[in-house]
Amino acid sequence: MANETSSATQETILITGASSDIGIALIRHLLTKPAPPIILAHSFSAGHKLQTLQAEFPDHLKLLQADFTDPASVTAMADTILTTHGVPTGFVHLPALRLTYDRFTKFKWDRFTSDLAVQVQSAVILLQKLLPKMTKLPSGRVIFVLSSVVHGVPPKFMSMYTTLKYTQLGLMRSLAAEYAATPVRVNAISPSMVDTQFLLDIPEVATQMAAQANPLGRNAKPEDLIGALDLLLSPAADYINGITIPIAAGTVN
Amino acid sequence: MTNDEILAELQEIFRDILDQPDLVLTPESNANNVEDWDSLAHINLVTSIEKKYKIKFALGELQELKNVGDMIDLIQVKLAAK
Repeated sequence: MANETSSATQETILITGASSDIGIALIRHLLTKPAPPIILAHSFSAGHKLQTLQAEFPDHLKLLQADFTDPASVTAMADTILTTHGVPTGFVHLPALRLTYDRFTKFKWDRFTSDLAVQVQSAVILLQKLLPKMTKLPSGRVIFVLSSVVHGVPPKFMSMYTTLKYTQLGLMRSLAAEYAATPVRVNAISPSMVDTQFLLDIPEVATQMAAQANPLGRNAKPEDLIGALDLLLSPAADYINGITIPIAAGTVN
Repeated sequence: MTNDEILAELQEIFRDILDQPDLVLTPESNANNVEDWDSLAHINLVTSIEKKYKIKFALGELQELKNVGDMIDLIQVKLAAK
């Protein structure tokens, strides 16, 4: 069993959905810092990008695999984390199924429940295990990666995605309130469309239209999210709780 | 290919995407006079047309189209350039 006291002195950050382009960018950023944390990188199948990173940073990057549509798999991963690596000081939650555009009349409940499991149930299971222990640490950080759809009127044809992001927003705010008096800060970022493999299932013309609608004439890049994630993970966020930071080049307020 | 041949093929694509098996497409058809031709349908139509003819449209080219006739003209240009 890992020692919780010693784990508090070593920054350990759990990143779920870490094989995403945003996850890879965040891991690379964190591991190239002067004092890198231990990264626990969850993915469904540990793709080649994560394996390449692990070969580069074998001492600081630990790969975890779990199927987030299966609650037993998530529970097993949480237990592995606690017994093998100790209590994480930070948790960045990224997982999602690929984005699709559909009319509300085509809302597929099966797909929704799968994505609900991946995005929300997994966070609930992991945090039920981890959060009570994180409150005993000198400092703890939980960050949800939402979307700019949670600001104002969302785009059309994204009812499933928007509902899932608002569900996570509700969870984030609830946890921020419930754990407000502890050293754990619970926050989120909400980027507009980020050019990543997450968009592979939507037509290229749709991503081009989103880029054109942005004042900067482009969609966000994974690197555009790193500064806000860095802030929310850092001691500078000790007095920041329950917020989501829009990263959308001014397209939402 | 003639314009009429392309129009006939586009009609099949439009019928499929818009789920209107009886839709009759003309060169004058546009988003205002074809039911359910909204922005999502437009994206799906463009994607299907690109696949069908193995061509790629630039966003700027699409925004200049006023009707199906313009679309056929643009497809002809793209096919000629292949």
